[in-house]
Amino acid sequence: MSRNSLKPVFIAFAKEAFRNRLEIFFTLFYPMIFLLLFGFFFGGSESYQKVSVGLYQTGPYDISAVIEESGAWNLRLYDGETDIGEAVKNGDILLGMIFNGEKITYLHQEGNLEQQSTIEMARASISAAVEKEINNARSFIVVENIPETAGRIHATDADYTMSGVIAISLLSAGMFSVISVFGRYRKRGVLDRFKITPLRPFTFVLGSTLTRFLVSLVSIVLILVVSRLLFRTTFQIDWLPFLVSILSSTLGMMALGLFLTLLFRNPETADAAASILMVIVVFFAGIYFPLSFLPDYLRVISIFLPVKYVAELIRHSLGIEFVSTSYFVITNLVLFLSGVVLLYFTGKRYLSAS
Amino acid sequence: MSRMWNFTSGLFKSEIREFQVMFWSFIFPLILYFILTSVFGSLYGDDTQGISFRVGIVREESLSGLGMILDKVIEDISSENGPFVKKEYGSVDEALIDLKEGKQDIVLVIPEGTSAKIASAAVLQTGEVALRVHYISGKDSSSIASNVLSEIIDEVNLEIRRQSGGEYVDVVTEAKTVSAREEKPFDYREYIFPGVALMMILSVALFNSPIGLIQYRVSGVNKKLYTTPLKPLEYFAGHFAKLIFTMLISLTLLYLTAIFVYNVRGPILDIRFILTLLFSMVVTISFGLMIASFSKKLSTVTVLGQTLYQLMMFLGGLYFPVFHLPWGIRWLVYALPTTYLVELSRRVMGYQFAPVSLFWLILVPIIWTAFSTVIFVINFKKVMGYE
Repeated sequence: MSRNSLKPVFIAFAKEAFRNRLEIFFTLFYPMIFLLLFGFFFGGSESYQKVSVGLYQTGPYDISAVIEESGAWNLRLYDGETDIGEAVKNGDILLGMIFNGEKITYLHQEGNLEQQSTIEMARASISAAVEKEINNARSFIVVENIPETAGRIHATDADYTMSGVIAISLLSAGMFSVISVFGRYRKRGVLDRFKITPLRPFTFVLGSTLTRFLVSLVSIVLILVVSRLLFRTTFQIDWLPFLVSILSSTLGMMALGLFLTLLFRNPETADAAASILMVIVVFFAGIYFPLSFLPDYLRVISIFLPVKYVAELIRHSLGIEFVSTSYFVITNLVLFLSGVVLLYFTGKRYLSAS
Repeated sequence: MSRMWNFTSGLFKSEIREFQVMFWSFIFPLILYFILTSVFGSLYGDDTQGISFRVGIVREESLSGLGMILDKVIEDISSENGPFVKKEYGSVDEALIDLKEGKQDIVLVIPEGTSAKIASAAVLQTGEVALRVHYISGKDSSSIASNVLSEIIDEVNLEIRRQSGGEYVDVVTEAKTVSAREEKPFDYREYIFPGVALMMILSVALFNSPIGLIQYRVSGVNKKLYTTPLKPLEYFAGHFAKLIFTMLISLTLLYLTAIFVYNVRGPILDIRFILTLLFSMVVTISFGLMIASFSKKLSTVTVLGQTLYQLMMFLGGLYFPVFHLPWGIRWLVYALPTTYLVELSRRVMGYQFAPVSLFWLILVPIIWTAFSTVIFVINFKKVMGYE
C-alpha cells in the first residue's frame, strides 16, 4: 500500500460508514426523527392563525365587539358556563371567558406549553381591552411593533427549529463517529493492524475525517429538503460560509468525541458519556427553546456547549441570523483548530508504530 | 423458588454493573426531572424570576414632566422583580445591531417629542404617543418580549385613566383550569411526574429488556443456560422480575426526589396512581418483548428501540399535550400505548388533557399487551435461539 493512499482509505471508510446500518441510522435518520417531532411541536406556522376564544356573557356590557375589534381572535359565543367549559375541554377553543359585567373568569387547559404564552397574552390583552372599554379609557401610549430580521430572511419558528436539528446532526455525526473509529477500532485491534502498514497516521485520520464530512453533508441536505417540503422553511443558503461551517463544525464535534475517547478508555463508556452530552445539549444549548426560559444559574451552562456556537454558524449561513464577520471567523477557527489538533495527537498516539 | 431467585439476582447484578444501565435507568430520570422542572416550572409558577428578557432602550429625548411616567415604568420593568434586563443605547442603529446579533430580545425607542405629546394628550384628551418596539420576527424570545411590553403599556394606560379621577370600574379577573384539580393551582412538578416516571419505565422496557435478550442469544449465554435445569418459564420470570425490580428502584428514587426536593405530595402517593404505574410497567415490558421478537441482531433492536422510544416519549404526550397536532401525525398519537398510559396516570391525579374516555385509556393498553404477548409467544423460539 502506498504511504499516501488517501483515496482508497477514504473510499474504504465511506463504504464502511454507509454499510454500517447503525451509523446510517444515527447519522441520517435519527436527526430526522427530531426534525419531524420538534418541527410539528415547535415549528409553528409561517402565517398567523387566529386563535379561537369563547365568550359567555351576562350583565350590562357587551364585550364581544371589543374582543373582535382587535382582529387577533376568532370569537365564538356560548349560551352557558357548561357549554363553554366543555368547549375548552374538547379543544374547540383555546380560552373561554365568562363575563358578568364586573368579573371575567378565564377557562383554559393547563400543561400546554406551546399555547401557554398565547393564553397568557390573550388574557392580558382582552382584560385590558375590556377594562378600557368599560371605563372609556383612551390609549395615551401605544406600541408600534416593528418586525426586524436578524438575517437575510424573515425567519419562521420552523427555520429556527431546523437549524437546531442541523446542529444536533453535526454533533451526532462528528462525536459518535470518532468514538467508533478511535474507541471501538482500538479495542478490536484494528488500529494496531494499521500501525504496521506503511500508511501514514495523517492519511488515515484525513480519510476518516473526509468521510465524516461527507456523511454530515448528506444528513444536512436530507434535513434541508425534508424541512422545506414539510415545514416550508424559508432559508437562503450562502454556500461558502455554509460549507465552511459544516467542515469546521464537524471537526469541532469530532474534537468533542475525541476528548471523550481519551477520557474514557472503554468505548462503551465513551458512547454513554456522548449520549448524556446529547441530552444536555438539547436542553441547554438554546436550540429548541429560548435560553431566556432557563433560570440564570442554568443559562450559564450554554456558554460552555460548543453546539450553541455551531447553531449560530448554521443560522448565519442559512440567512436566519447574522453574526459579525470576526465572530464567524473566530468561531470557525476555534472549532477547526480544536478538531485538527486533537485528531493529530490522537492519530499520533494510536497509529504511530512504536 | 431459590433457583429462580438466584437467577433473578444474578441477572440484576450483572445488569446494574454496567454504567449505561445505572445511568439511564437510575440517574437520568432524576436529571430529566430536574431539567424539566427548572426549565418549564418557572413558566407555570407564581415565581417568574426564572424568565427575563433583554431590552435595549434608546431615548431620542430626555423625558420630563408627565413624560417621566415612562421612566418610572422602565425602572419598574427592569427592577429585580421585573421581567426585563435593560441596557441603554445612544443610537437606534447601535441597538438594532445588538438586536440582530441576539444580544437584546427587543429594542424600545422613545422618540423625540414624547414628553410634549404625553402632556398634550393628558391636557387635551386627544392624540397619542407612539413608542417603537423592534423585535426579531420568528424568534420566540423576541416575539414574547414584545408582547409582554405591549401588555405592560396597556396597564400603564389604564393606570393613567385610573389616576385622572372620576368613576372607575376595576374588572376583576380569575383563571380556572378545566383540566386540573379545582382546589389548588396547577403544579408543573406534579404534572410532569408521571411523564418522567413513564419515560424511565419505557427506557427499561425498550432497551434493557430486548437488548438483554438478544445479547444473551448472540453471545451464547442462552445455549449455556439450556444445559442447566432452569426452565423457560423460570428464565422469563427471572427476566421479568429483574425488569420490575429495576423499575421499582428507579421509581423509588424519583419519588424521594419529588417528595423531599420538590415537595410534591398528594396525588402521586394515591394507591390508584401507583397502580397505573404498575400497569404501565406490564404494558411496556410486553411491548419491549415484541421488539425483541422482531430483531435478529443487536443493531436492529437498538435502531427499533431508539426510534420507538423517541416517538412514544414525545408523541405519547409524556411532556407536552399532543392532541392539537396536525392530523398527519395525530393518528400516531392515538395509536401509541404511552398516550393512554400517561393520560390514565394524570386522569387519576385529577387532570384531563385527552378527549378520550377512561374505558379507552384502559382498553387500548390491554389490547397492546395482548397483541405484544402473542407476537412474542409465536416468535419465542427465534428470540431464545432454540435450535
